[in-house]
Amino acid sequence: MRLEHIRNFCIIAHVDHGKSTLADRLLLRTGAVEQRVFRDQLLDSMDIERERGITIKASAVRMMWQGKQINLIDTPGHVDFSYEVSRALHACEGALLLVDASQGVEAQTVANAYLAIEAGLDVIPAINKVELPGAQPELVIDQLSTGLGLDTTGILRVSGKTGLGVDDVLKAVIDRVRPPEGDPAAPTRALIYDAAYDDYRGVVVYVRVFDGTLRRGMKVQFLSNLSEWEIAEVGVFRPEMEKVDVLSAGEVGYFVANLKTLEHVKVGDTIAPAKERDVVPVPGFKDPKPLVFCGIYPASSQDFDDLRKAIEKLHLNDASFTFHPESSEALGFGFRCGFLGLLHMEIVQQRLERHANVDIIQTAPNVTYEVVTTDGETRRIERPAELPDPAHIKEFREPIVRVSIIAPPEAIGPVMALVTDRRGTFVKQDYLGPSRTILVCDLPLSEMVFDFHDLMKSATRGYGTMDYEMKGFFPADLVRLRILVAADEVDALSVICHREVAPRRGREILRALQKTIPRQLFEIALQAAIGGKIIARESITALRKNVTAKCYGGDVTRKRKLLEKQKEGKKRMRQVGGVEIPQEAFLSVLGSRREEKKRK
Amino acid sequence: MTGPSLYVHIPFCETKCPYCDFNSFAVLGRDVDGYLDALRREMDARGVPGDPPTIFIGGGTPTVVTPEQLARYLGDITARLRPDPAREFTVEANPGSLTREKVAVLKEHGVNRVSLGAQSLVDRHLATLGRVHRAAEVEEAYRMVREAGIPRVNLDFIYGVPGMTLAEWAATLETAISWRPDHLSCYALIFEPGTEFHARRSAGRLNPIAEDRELAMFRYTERRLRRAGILRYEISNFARRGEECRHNLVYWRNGEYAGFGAGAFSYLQGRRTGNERHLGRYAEAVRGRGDAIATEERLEGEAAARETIVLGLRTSEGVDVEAVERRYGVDLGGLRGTIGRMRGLGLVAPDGPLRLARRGWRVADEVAAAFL
Ligand SMILES: Nc1nc2c(ncn2[C@@H]2O[C@H](COP(=O)(O)OP(=O)(O)OP(=O)(O)O)[C@@H](O)[C@H]2O)c(=O)[nH]1
Ligand code: SF4
Ligand SMILES: [Mg+2]
Repeated sequence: MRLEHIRNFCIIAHVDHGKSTLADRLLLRTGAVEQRVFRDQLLDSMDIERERGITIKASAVRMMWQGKQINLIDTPGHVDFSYEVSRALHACEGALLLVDASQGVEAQTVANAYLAIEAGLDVIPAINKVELPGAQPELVIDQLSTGLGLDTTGILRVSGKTGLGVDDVLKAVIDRVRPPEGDPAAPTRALIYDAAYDDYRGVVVYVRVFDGTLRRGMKVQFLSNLSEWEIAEVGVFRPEMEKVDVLSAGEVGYFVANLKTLEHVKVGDTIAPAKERDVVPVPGFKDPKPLVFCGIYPASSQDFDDLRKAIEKLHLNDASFTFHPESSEALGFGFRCGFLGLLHMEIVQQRLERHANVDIIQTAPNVTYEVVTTDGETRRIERPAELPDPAHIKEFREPIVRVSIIAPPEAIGPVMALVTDRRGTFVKQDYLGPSRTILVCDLPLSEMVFDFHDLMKSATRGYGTMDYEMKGFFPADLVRLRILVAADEVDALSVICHREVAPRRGREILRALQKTIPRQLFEIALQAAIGGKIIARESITALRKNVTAKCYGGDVTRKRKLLEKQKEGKKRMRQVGGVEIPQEAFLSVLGSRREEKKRK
Repeated sequence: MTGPSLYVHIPFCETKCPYCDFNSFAVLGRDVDGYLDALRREMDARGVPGDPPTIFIGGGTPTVVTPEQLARYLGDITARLRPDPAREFTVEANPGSLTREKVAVLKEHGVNRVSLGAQSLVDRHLATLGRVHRAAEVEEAYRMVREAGIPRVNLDFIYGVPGMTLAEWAATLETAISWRPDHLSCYALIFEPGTEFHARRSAGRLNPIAEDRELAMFRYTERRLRRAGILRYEISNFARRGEECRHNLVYWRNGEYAGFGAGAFSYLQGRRTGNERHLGRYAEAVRGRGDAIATEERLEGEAAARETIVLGLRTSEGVDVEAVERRYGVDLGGLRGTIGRMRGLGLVAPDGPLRLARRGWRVADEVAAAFL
């Protein structure tokens, strides 16, 4: 297809503003999907997306409309998946910015709009859900123009629910998004924006072609490692994969090349014809910057290799988490993984368990710290076990994030109180029209990442939204809070926290352990300590009684099965110093903070 | 070890007790004779071991049937055996169901041990347990058996009954001891899935006693009976020296037995089978193919060895691990760590055969599971 007949755009918005639903309408209207096979939020094809009702992965789909080829990418709105958005932007020339008419501009509306503008995309603002009785389109227009400085003349008014304005959207995409540039006759240059592993076909590489073409039989190379491959199939998403003869400059699609190993494909890499040495790589993606880390270990140590394979496969399809091997005294060999947020962490864990068939033990999440040692060396500390002896620490630094909270002006007081309570500091306050204020403040990441969002939501009666970016590492009075079970420190349970909150944190953790570690054949002492000083203690009394009185004569099998079941329950536990610790215990360190998952 | 022991199941009771998950049914309106026909057919078809070291007739309540029916099935059994007065021959009986006439039938057929389902000697607890007999009848039945000259009598008791106090349980034990029985089985009440008790507890209509109180009863039982010269030889079984139930020991030692009747289990040549529990299906299966096997399991090598250890751990004699290794031709060196840990915790005896130490009994399942 000639370039001037192609349009590539993505839909971006705050969570739940209706991106996937509008995408549904577009697919139906253009006939890309037949009514017969249609279901709501069709592009949310992953089981976890459907269960949670949110988009997690960006997905591309090709539509034809009035002689034009339109490639649409639906993106997630949740801040934890913003890496998906930033990659999708690289595959497009335009972005449709949706704003829920009743909610108005929210934090990810702002964040995603800026991402699109920075990426040089043609941004088309649109007010969605206009059929709602609570719709306030004029207010939204004001927020977009004064707050975001967007040109709102001819703003689209649509409803993904009723289908209102869908033709206008298509028309606007054709008229207001520029066609892709590029040279179909030049040597091929294509950007890998995503990938997935298929058991039969190996790695499926998702690409945006910038110059030249990709077709079956062609020999290509990955510029980052110069490995060469012969293309076995090219195709597009409709939204199922569909073979085509050629993918040419300006188009989005996929190819398969008998890639059975995972190490060659890297999201952000450029594909060029084999042997070509003069190809300039397409600018790739910034590396994701994980904010929270946790250890992921196989529940039984012989599953380590399976876990590694599973993580590698998943990483192909989610380049936004990081992983590297680590070992723990308590848990053996596993991986330290980094995530963009707690929801992201939970999703990765779920995808691993579901699709990899390995039981995993996950440690409580923490953030990364920095330590300046007495020899002047600056070290990254990804987990408490890496901390040097306190005598060798000159300065202990924690990560600080700059948080922007958008909320009604009357909620700013309570939010400020919360921020101060969480060791945060005020930076500035701006107005985004009469009903919206932006409060900017700096917060320790460790205070923000766990339950701050929930607390902020309740402080603003649900109206507040937030976005954040990493600011850097700053000195703080931090300590390593050691957790001892039966007098042995369990490295996987220990945490780093602020000295002031250590006693409270210690008690919380011990109580959580008390609830999750089952009574055993002996009493178990639980202690929290800073250095050698015990600051909290609890205990788990010994199991008093566990004996089946009657064992009906001949039915030995049943008795044995009951005992086997009892034993089975222990499989997911780890022996630490003779104490069996169930996997929930490692997470329970989060205690009530784990409510974050009920976020939506 | 000699040949397999013999078990025969009589699945009838006067009424069904609300805590009981045995294969038993209220006798009223049941075709007992039809069942006894099927039982005989099964014995014919499968063949009864001719010289079993022990016989145990259990149920249900084997004595709930008429004296004629009792004589009939006992005759059916003994007719197939080489007579041996020294062989342990136990029949279970419930106090309410026993008459002089029935005791005479037992005696005539060579029964030399009666196990009486007393359950409690406090009427209130008997009522809670849904038992049809009363405390006074227990003593009557006990005397009847003694007077008939049946040499060995066991009394079955249940403690930990909702509402039971330690003092009440202690008083029950005192009375029982004063009768000078040679064997007592004292079981803690279990809320078995599928029973009425289980459902009532789930619905909050029946409150189990506190764990600590039950534990106190468990400990008290052993201490008190030991003083009376009645020693624990299995978690819930106590006997004067030499009066242990040899049939039970066959089970704990993972020995062989052939079981007949609905829901009966057999363990022969490494194969454990369970009969059809349902009376109609049992009779039908026997009529059709001679046996009524519904479940089957064969454990070999290490699995069988481990099971033998788990069973043996229920007894005070314990298990000789090396003998188990020889018996199954396996190496159980892998258990050494577990044994060491249990010894360190003082839960199994520091030396000699693998057996529970004093502190180990109350957590016997926890210890046993570690060996599976
Ligand atoms: N009333 C009304 N509801 C809508 C409209 N569009 C979407 N919704 C509802 O809004 C909710 C969120 O819709 P989605 O399409 O999943 O939103 P999304 O922006 O894709 O959400 P994420 O991908 O998780 O960021 C669903 O309950 C939709 O039914 C609309 O035009 N009007
Ligand atoms: S008498 Fe015994 S076997 Fe019969 S129902 Fe009661 S407890 Fe069960
Ligand atoms: Mg969506």
